[in-house]
Amino acid sequence: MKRVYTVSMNANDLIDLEVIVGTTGIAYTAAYKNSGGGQRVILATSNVQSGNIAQHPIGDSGALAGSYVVIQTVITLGALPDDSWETVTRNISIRYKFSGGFSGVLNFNYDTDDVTISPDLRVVVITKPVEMIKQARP
Amino acid sequence: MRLIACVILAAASCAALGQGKEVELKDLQIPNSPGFILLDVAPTSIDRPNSSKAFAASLLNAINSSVNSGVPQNYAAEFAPFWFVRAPKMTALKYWGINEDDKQMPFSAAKLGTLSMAYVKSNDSTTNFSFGLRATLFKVVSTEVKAELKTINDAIITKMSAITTAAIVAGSDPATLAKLVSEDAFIKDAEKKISDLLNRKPVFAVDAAYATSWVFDKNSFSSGHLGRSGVWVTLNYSLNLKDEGAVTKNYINVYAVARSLMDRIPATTDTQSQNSLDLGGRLEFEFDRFSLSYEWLSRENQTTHVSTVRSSGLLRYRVADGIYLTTALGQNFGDVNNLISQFGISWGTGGGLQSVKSN
Repeated sequence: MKRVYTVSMNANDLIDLEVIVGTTGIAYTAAYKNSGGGQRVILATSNVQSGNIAQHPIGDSGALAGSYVVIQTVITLGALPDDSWETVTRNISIRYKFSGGFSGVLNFNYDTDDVTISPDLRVVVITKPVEMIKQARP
Repeated sequence: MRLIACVILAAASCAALGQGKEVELKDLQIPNSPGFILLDVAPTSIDRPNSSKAFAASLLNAINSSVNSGVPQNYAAEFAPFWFVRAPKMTALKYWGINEDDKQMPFSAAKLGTLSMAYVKSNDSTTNFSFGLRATLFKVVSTEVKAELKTINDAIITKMSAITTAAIVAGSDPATLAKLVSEDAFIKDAEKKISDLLNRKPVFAVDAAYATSWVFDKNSFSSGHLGRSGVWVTLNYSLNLKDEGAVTKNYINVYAVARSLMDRIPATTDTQSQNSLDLGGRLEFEFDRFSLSYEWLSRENQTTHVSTVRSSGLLRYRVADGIYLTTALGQNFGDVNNLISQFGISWGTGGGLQSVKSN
């Protein structure tokens, strides 16, 4: 499910993103900008410790306005017993936090329709698209 | 090989047959489900739900299958609360007991502790309800295992990063990305190595369990009284017998055991409450599927202050995962009728050892 974040009227104001992933699976997260032309630019990624992205500026309001920021988390469960995969998938926790724009600090979680599971149930991909919109002028 | 092992164990068991006091094989190990051990009548089936939804479904099923009252006659469940809730800051490394600074978290296994409970109604209108806890309170793995887990974790994430980046740049949809990661041979192989590492014995661990039971006579709530209570603590030390530096499945294991069992009998009866304290240990040589161990336990009856000793040997062969052939020979507690001679098979994950032939 798409979410919306209103960027700052000042084009130079930076927008920050933080992602916190809670899972016993092995997770990796990448955030990318999807502009109208279909070009995708990676803005931030997690490291080898976890699927988390520490609070990180992903661009200024002017550059992000009108685009989508898509946060994609890939989780592989193969190191866990296969009879636990369903439970582990159900218990995945992801918190997305945007800040720096007109919307201020905005937290949200993923929705059911953001979840894609591989045919063998071993890999889960959670994709959260966030539309970055300009503040309407009064 | 398995056939030969079965024949050897069968022969050993024949030699062990004789007159002896009833000893259950489960007495020789810390119970996986302490809530069930205290009941003399074993529940017919044990539900192991791994979510609140599954737990509700199993309970509903038990109620629906009961004949008269809607209350199940016989119900047992065991579960780990860890799997019932989301852990917002959990990571794979933390789950394995490694923190952000790559240090071991020796107390982290306690979070996977289990709760067990059982409700058994017998034909003489006696109802037993028991409740148990079990957890690994402390666990330390070898520095090699810890380093390997970290290295493989990093390699998997690096590979996932490459696949994800390529998929994003190529404009792939999430289903394609999921398929690409799930079909990657390197990741599959690396995950198998992690599973193998996690299945290795820790160098040192402390396991503990507690259980208590209540007994209700003649369907009367007011007759309810505490039945048995038990506390088990086991300290495990495992030394891997490496072959030219390579890790094997051969170990020398040393166990120290403390176990306290308390029988609470109401003052209205003539029988006296019996409390006992067991202290001892076990030395075990484990060679892949075979294990040979010797156990020595001292039992003090804390009511009569009489001490006795159990001294026994145990030979075990793992037929398949969770299925063991076991034979034991030795001296049980007490001065008379104290021969241990046992041959049995055990299966399942609940730790309930099922004897097929004893004494």
